[in-house]
Amino acid sequence: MERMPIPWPEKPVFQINDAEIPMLATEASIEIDCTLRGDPVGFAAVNRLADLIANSVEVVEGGGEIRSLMDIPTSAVLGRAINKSQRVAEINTVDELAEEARRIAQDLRSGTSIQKESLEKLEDFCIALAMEAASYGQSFFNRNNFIGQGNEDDTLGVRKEAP
Amino acid sequence: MIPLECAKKRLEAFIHQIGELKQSEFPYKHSEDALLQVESDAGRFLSHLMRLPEDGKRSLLLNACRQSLDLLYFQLPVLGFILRSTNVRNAFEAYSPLLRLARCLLGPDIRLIISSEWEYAPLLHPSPGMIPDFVLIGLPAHESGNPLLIPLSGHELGHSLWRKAKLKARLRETMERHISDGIRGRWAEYKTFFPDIMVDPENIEKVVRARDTLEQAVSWCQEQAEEVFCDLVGLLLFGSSYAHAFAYLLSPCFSAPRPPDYPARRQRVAVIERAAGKLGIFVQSDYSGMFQDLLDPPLTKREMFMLSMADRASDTLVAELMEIAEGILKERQAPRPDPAEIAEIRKRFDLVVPAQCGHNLASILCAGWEAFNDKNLWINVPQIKDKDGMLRELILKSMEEYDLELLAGPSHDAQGK
Repeated sequence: MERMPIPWPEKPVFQINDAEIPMLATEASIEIDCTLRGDPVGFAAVNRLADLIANSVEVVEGGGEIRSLMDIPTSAVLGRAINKSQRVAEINTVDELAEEARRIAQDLRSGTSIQKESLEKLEDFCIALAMEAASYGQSFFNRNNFIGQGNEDDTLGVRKEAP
Repeated sequence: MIPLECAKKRLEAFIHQIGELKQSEFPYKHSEDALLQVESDAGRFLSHLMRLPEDGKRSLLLNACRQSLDLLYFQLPVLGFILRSTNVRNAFEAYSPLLRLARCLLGPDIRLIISSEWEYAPLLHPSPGMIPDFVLIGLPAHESGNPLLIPLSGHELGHSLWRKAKLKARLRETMERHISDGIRGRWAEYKTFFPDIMVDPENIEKVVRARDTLEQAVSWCQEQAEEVFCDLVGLLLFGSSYAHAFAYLLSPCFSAPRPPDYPARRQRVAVIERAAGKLGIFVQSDYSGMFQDLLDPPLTKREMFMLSMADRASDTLVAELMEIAEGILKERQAPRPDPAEIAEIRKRFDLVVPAQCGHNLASILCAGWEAFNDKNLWINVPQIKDKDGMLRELILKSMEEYDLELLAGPSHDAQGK
């Protein structure tokens, strides 16, 4: 097996169970909304979200083909957010999902330079992503409450375990 | 009052509370650092809320208010944890040695908070993305001064290592392949649970609708693999003392059903036992006999099918996880228990004197557990009425000695100041 490199891998990974995602997507939606209302506050969260999503895909060497690097729970939640925000008609394959993820990252990075209608769609996407990511975590929280173990409320925040 | 107004006022009250907590006297700076981090996150979110007009887009407002509520729900226990880090019942002698270990493993910027909790199963760490670069280690209040349970912090350090090394992403393809292979092997059964999925077995990972059916199994597998990895890190760092502490805290099992994102208890114990054997660590005969499996979780048949896929996949990963854990610890030059040191310390404990300088934390704790398990310990010293109490004092004193020697060395930086 390949030895673990030092220093640690620094490239952030887009993972849906990361507690940062719902809050980050919410802050991004507010930044976009402020821009749409002519009251810009900067795009710190938008840019961070763009970086994370951009890291979730890669261009296959030697061609323009896009490959998903997302794990299945992450791609499932991202797919639900895309469907909910009606960015595209339908996504059937993982390759299509990866392509759409790349487009979203590009649009987020374009920020104010894209059309108002596209910006509104991005706002809807960020809201949908925040809600889907939060409820992904929440579904496990409920599951664990239901189980009655009372030792895990992993998801958005604190996780307790034994050990 | 409208939800946005409530959300802003709640966050303001939360931030005010942090201001009150900041007046506490903390035994080390990292507790204050964590408060500042939580305050900064809450303040940033509040400033975003302040930009929203009351008559703004409804979906935007409701989501923002909902997220603010989640923030409070999940961050409030962290404030409680930080506050309890000031409590004198905590084993402060363990702080510096544990911080050194954490920094050795995770880098010089890592910060540590140890605390005591009023829940039995309180070992706690923030989820990824929430106060990153902090390791939070708690023990049940009635055991928080018991150094024999310190080895369990190895498990918590494992969680931080898992995140720092981005192991979920690194193992993504392997985990998903194991799940898909498992499903292909029981395809007819899978089809009974998902009759609407029209896809060939070989394309299950490529078609979104089919791939989404694997979400739960993959998620459980990820969580289970992380738990296994953390047990292996605990065992590698603390040797037999990890296995003893694990059994002390958790055997035979809780009465509640098994959480699906943990491996089955017997599977978990078997991993510890097998890994100990491989590492030449003697735990005790019939270690696994101390444990019982928890009840099956109350899941649907379809969920149970997916759980069996997750269990199978995580079990298949054990050897790889062990190799990764060993590789990381070796490269980080993490101190490991030393049998000769353990024997030497044990002799000193028999003489009712603490370990001398030069011994590492894990060796002290392994020797401590050996003494604890020895029914004949101090049998000829009738003056010692409270053997457990005396042993704890010896272990804590030994940790202090260990720390003093490191502080006297040239590269000390672990005071958390």
